[in-house]
Amino acid sequence: MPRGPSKGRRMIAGAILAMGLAVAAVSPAAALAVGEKVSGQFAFGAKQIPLPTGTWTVAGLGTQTFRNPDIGAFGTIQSAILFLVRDNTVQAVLEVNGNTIPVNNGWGRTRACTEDSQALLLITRYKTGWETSCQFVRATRFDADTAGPGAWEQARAQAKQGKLTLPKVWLTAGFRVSDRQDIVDARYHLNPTELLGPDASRLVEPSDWAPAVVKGDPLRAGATQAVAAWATGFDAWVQRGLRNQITDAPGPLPRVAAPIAAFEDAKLADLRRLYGEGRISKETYEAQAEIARKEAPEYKPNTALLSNAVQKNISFRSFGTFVDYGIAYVVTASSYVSWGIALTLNATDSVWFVLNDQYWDNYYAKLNTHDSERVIDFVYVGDNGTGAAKEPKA
Amino acid sequence: MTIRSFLPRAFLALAALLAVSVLAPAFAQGPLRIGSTVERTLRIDGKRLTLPIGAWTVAADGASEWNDTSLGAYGYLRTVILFRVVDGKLDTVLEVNANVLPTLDGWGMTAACARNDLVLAVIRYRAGWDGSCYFVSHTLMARDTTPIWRRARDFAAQNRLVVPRIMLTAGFRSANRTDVLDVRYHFAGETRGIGVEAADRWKDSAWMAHRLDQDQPRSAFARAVSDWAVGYSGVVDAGLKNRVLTEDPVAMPEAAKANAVIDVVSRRLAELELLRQGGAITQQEFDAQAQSLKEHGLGASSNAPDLATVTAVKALSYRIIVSISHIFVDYYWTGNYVATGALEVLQITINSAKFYLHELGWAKYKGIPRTDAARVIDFKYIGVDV
Repeated sequence: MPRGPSKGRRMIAGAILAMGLAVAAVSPAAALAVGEKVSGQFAFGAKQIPLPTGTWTVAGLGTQTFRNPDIGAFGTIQSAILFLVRDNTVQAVLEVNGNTIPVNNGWGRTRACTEDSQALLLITRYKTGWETSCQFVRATRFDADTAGPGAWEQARAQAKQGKLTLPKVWLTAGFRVSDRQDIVDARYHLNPTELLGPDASRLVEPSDWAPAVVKGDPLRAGATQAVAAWATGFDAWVQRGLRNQITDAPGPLPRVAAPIAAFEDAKLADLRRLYGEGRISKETYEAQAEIARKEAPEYKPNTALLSNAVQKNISFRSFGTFVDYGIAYVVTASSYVSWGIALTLNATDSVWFVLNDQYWDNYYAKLNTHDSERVIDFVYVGDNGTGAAKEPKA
Repeated sequence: MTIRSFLPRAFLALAALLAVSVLAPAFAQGPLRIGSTVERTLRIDGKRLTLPIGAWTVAADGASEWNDTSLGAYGYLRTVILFRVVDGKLDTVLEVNANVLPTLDGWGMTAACARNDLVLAVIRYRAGWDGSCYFVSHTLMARDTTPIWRRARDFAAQNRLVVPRIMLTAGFRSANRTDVLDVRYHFAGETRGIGVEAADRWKDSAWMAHRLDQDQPRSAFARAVSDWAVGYSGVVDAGLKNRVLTEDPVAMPEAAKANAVIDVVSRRLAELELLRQGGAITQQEFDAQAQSLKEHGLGASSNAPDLATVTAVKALSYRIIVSISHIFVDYYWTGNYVATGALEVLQITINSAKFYLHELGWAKYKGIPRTDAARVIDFKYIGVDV
């Protein structure tokens, strides 16, 4: 009598069948190709990447050699380099990195978003347990002779082949947005000539764009301001892209006189649209517009002179002392003894209060603090002074 | 204008028109026409929901009466109610609640996912600014609990559809910092050969978890819906970020075994396999990541308790410490054991309450940074589920 397959074999066969079914069900997303022209936005690892006005060319594609077991199963980090070219000059380079498979436990922040002296702009929108959003503006040095990650190697070969002109130093507006599942690290390297004219070609060192130097030059200060103003509105587009909610084209690249609509203006425009379509009443529109004007997020670290525990203790004691006096007076019927008890408790309990509060706050903060404190950097194009390119380790 | 100059312009205008018409569906966020049908995908203000097989008729679409402006400028909470009709009978009611504009400070979980008296309640992950959960329970549909539901019931009446008195509900909540999708499928038992029941109160229904063992048809269907919900929760999570988890048709629960939504772990393993086959990752990377996925599965909840728990812990530990210290202070000033004892009792009771209330008030009004403790946000739903 023929024997059937063993239980173990049946299980393996079942697993292979399930995997096969799943593979059949997963359809690979339409892939980008080098040389492809895109505008408005493009799909990148099940996310959308916004593109300022113009026709962008995919100049390089690749993957990063990034490993971090803490992240889980992210597949690989894919990279793309896109050029925006006019008259054989590269106006802007977009360098974008993102995961291919959603993870379950978040990503982390980039070193470029940590406080340092070279940043011309640094805004952290939010930084919580499982998500981050920050943006920065700083100078980055690279040209067609600069080596870099795989995608950049393809891109610079294209630049050389096409005899494209690239400046030596770029003004970079970088955006890092991540949530529990996905990460987008997009860096828009802008040709300073577009903001300053031909004079910008004499600025060949990142130090020419050091904050102190920029401050002393009204032209560079104006250019930096234009990029910063653009970046503070454009980050909303990058965030929408993470959620696949880009429905129209972002505006142009920064010009001194034409910054992109700020965070709150975009929200107000959406509310006006809803009101115009009759989907919300005038009262709702007005109430929500009032909220929208104030809600652009920005992470603010606690910089108070007194710790939260001390402030809380002062608040607690300010009426607690009278309660203590009242209790003591009910029992002793002596004003002198009651004040003695209340003031002694005021002194001793304050110490216990602050110690107790700080202990538990620290204890729970450790439970809360998660991957937003983790630094995740990839290999980037050029040198922007953060050292991330040299140390692509998480 | 010559024909030669007109043609390129006409071509450009036509191309622009075509582009607009191609893009329009992605931007079309306006209310759905009542009576129209939706198949495969429901697009709802930057989010999407892959629908189970069949034609879904729009019974109502409008603003929920729920309005909590403390969450920010979200436009309004949109409620869409769809009917699935089989052989002239109402088979399933789909109730979807979603924000119209993105917020900036998160949403929260539904209380139903934390209940322990339901057939199923699973929290996949939960933190201050995001979360995903699902549950299976029954809902009393007979009452007009919301204006939108009243409109949907009117639509049902106009089309001679009878809304079952009690339906089995599979509910899903997926939320992140900007968006929320609250999806509830109410399945009719009657169209699945399950007897009509006349319970007036939620807890009297035969769908109660503890009664299901005595009712084979109900038990089997509740199990089928629970199994289906496990896979479908991934569909809702993907839809929150305007993604499609699967291009394959999604089955209804009763047929789920034949055509199930592949669970998210299997799907991600398959995506890894595709990357390995395409050479994007090495065999070693595949092995390491696949092992991580199998070991850790999906999701991780915050370990941090909510504000009330933290406050209670602080209050208790503080009270223990200061009560000992108070014995010495009180005795020093009174020199009397009885007075010291009386003071201790009063201080413990009054000051503990004072401490607890002050902590909560401080957290609420001084706006200390929110922690990962999830908050509960519930909308106005169809029917009664308590």
